[in-house]
Amino acid sequence: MIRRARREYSMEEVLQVLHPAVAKWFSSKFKSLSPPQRYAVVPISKGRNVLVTSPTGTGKTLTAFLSIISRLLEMADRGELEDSVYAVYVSPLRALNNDIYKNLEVPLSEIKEMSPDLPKIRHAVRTGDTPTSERAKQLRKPPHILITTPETLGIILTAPKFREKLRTVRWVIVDEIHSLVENKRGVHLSLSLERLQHLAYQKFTRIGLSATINPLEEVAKFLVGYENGKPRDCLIVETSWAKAIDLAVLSPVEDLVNTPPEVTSERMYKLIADLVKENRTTLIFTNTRSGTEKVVFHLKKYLDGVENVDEKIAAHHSSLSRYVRKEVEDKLKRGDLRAIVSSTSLELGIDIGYIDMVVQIGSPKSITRALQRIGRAGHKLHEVSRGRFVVVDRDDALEVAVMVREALRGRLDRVHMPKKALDVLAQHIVGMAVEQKWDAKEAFELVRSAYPYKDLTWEEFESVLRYLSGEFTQLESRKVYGKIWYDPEEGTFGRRGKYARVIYASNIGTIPDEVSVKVYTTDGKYVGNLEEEFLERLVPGDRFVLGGKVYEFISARGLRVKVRPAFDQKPTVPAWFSEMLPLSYDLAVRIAEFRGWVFRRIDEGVPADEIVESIREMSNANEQAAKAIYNYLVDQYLYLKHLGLSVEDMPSDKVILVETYVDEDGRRHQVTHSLFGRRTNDALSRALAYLAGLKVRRNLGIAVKDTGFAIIYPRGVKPKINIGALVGEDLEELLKKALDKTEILRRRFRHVAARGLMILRNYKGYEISVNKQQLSAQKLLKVVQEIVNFPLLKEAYREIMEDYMDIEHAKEVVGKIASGEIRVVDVGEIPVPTPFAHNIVLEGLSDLIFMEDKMAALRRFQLAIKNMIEEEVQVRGR
Amino acid sequence: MKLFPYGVYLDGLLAVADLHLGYEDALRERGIELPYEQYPRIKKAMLNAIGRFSPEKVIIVGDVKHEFGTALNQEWREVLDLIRILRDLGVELEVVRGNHDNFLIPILRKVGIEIRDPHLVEGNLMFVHGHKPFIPPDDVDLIVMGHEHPAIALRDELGAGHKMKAFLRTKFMDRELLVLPALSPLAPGTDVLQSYGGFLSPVLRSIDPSKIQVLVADHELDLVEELGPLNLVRRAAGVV
Repeated sequence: MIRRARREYSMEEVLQVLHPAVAKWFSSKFKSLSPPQRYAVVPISKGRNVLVTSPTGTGKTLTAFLSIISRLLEMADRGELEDSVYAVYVSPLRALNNDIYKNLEVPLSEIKEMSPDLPKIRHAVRTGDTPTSERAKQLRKPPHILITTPETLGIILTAPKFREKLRTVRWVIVDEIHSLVENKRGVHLSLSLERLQHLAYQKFTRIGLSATINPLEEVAKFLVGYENGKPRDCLIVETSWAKAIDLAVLSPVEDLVNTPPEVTSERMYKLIADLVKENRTTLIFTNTRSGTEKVVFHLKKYLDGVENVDEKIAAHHSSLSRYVRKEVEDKLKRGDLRAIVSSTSLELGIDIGYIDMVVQIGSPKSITRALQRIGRAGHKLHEVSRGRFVVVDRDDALEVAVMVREALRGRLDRVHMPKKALDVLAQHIVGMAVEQKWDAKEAFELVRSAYPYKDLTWEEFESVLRYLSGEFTQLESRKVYGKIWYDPEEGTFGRRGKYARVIYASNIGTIPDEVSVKVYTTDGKYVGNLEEEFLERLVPGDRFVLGGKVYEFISARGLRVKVRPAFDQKPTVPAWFSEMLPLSYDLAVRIAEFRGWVFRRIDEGVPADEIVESIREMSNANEQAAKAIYNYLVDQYLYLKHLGLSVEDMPSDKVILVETYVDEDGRRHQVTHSLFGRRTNDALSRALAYLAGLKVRRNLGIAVKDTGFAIIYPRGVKPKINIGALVGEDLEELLKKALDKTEILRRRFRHVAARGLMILRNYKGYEISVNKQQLSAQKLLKVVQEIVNFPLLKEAYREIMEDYMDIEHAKEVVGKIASGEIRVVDVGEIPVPTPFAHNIVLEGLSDLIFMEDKMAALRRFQLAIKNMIEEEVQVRGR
Repeated sequence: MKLFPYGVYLDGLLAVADLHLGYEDALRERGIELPYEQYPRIKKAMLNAIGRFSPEKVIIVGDVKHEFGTALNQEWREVLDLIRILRDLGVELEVVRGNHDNFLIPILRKVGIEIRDPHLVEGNLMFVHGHKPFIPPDDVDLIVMGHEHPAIALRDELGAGHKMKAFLRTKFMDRELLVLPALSPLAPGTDVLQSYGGFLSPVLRSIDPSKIQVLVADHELDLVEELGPLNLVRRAAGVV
């Protein structure tokens, strides 16, 4: 059963369950227990699985290790402590591993000093960086506590000798579990844990450590897994309340539309500089990597009066070299910095020393993420976590105001946890086959005990076995290229060939290789690199910034991009697009609800001051922010009123507004104000564009935002349907068809094929370039699209629809339209887009839905050539 | 001369180019697992064409197989199977050497076929792969070539595209020159509209694009249609 911890233990009770030497050490160092220690130490010592969620700096890690060290010393007392691994600590970050190593060193050596007769408890780090000599040493004298990463754990499970040392495992700690549950690294780990359990002599105790996350019950199930179809027992220790929070929304100006950008930007830096000056150390989050450098650059100018300012402010992001990052972290720990600017790299729990203020520029897009970031402040217990949200965009202002209200009410948004990833499963099956010959049903049960696979069907499992055993290849080649053999009659499978182990160990992991594409001008001059994910979104004609200059995208071939300089023109695609986080569905719906509420207040004639005041109160916004939000909503209200709409028909959580306008090129943009977040809108817009494309027989463009989406029609083509047309349609089928020829399917399939070991990144000593992977994936995709139920293609679609997009909520929205719970109000063509539509229209083109058939495209092309030839003839004739 | 989406029929002769058999295993050797789909499709395309034209002779204008450095099992198997099928149908086979065909010779020798290197002349027709420069003999009127894998990618104003294979027709040293599309379904082709770097074949590089006619060839639509001279086709596609 998954239960919440109710019982709080006293210092005496806790000390009693610890080994005398540990108790002595603990009471010499600490006068009292931290909240997680009060609740969790005793249950852990009794061998219960525990999930601890608590802010940074509340002694979570020590909570986990106190009991473990105690038990290890007791074993030593009884002469039972052998040269074997008893505890495995897994964290997603190598840097965190090194911190933990050092943090454990302190109690271990101090206990040893205080009680010299006791044996030394050994601990060691093992990651991909660990040299062979150190690994050999670990085999000779295994650490009692092994500190590792999910990937390395996956590898050592198949290491022929070292795995024997893992059979004695009695505790597993998963740190920063909140950052693992939402992605495939976590899925990968969940299977490794079950494989470790299968290997271990006894049932081990699982301890999960997490920052703020919701729903805790699901995360607990992820940690402990399933047995006989039911989740194993787990105790949830939630001490998120251990630190108070103090949040506020700040806008540098009152009018976020008409104030010149230079002025807004100047005031913003001044506002942030003031916060930095008022505090000892400020952590500033931007939403993009490029943003961090920009903020550091500008902020310095406003930090007059701070001595030696160049040394007191630094950037920290994942594009920096490991060496530079380490240097910055050390400075931070020593308290030498006044401000540090980060994108996501400081979200996770490496020990970052003293932070007394967190500033977030722009919206962090989810209540949970906001709290996780703010939780980095006030490192010592009993200090308040202080966070300031600085906004310079009206949608952001509205978003963050509602976010703060929800955070203060303690209503968190739910995390999405990927299910049934068949590519990760394929990796593990190869790993399992390397270990031993398996009874397929037994292996199936093992897999189903991992949370993400609890609903896996036998058919799905078997399809992966069939794929890996080379079922769709010709018989003669199976011996050479099959990774496993599978005997469906006998129901067994095992390793095939001598390469299986090497393939597994050298291709493990779930993070796709980063691709950067080279950009050249038409005359062959190299101008720089772009991320592939960014390229995925570009279409010919788009203008973007690279190296501070504007270029127009012409074409891409393989990993080579051709552009034309467009220095004097404005970019049409923001450079940071690919890094944009999607707004969570839960928060989006609450913003929509809030919009509706304000519209009603305005309609009832409530005075502006009063509404501004209520916005200020709910989100602790400054005057400027509250007014900016109010003005945004009142502008929209007045425009819609002018169109003749009554307040019931204005966009809210119950009404989706649809409007169409014609741009200067004559293209029609049908804008749908569906405030459900980008993941849901991505699914809705593509399905609708596909359906709409069927009606007009042309290719349509889409632009997707958190607040809605636009479908872009070519010149002279008018929309015939709106979002209401999705009622009664099979959304999944439509979406699948819409994805058919898209760049995103090609890219995601490459990732899936690499994870599923169809494209090996490392093979027979060769590393396969991403370029080659990409070309191969395109060919593969063409071929596997004709195989029914091919597991890796199925997974690519699943990943796109469920993890990248949010088809579940898209279905929910369509269901609500069908039931009348949500109404669609279409105002048709209007001369100027409404204020809410501005950000959607500025978005430009996100993707294309291929609809026009080949023949029609060919005929149009032939016509173009005919015109060209006639023109040529005329020119010559003159 | 009859063009069909995969090749050309000329007076009892059926010519195709660039089969690249064994491509899947060549990729497998590099750690990429591609299902074996190519040969069945090539076989089907060949059988259809033979059924339609009843040729006496089939000429493969180079690159029968893919792997440069060796002859893979798959290549032995598929090449021999193709030859057996043609023989069963009573069709003679001629093979012109392509740049990928180094290790094809032992496979062919096993069934008593001599590879034509560097080209094959049949009456006034010359068949040559095209990876090296060549000079046509005097009595040749038409040269049939492979190697280039020509294709065109069509894009509309929004940037959406379709890729289709193509023939190229031009003149070289006063002879007609016909470039065949690749028969291999795994070779979608080189977009001649975008090939600002120039052609693969040395012979084509010396020819003015305004003198090269582009013919689109698509097996799904089952058509071969003339589009126009390459310079205008490129301009219409908005790439020049």
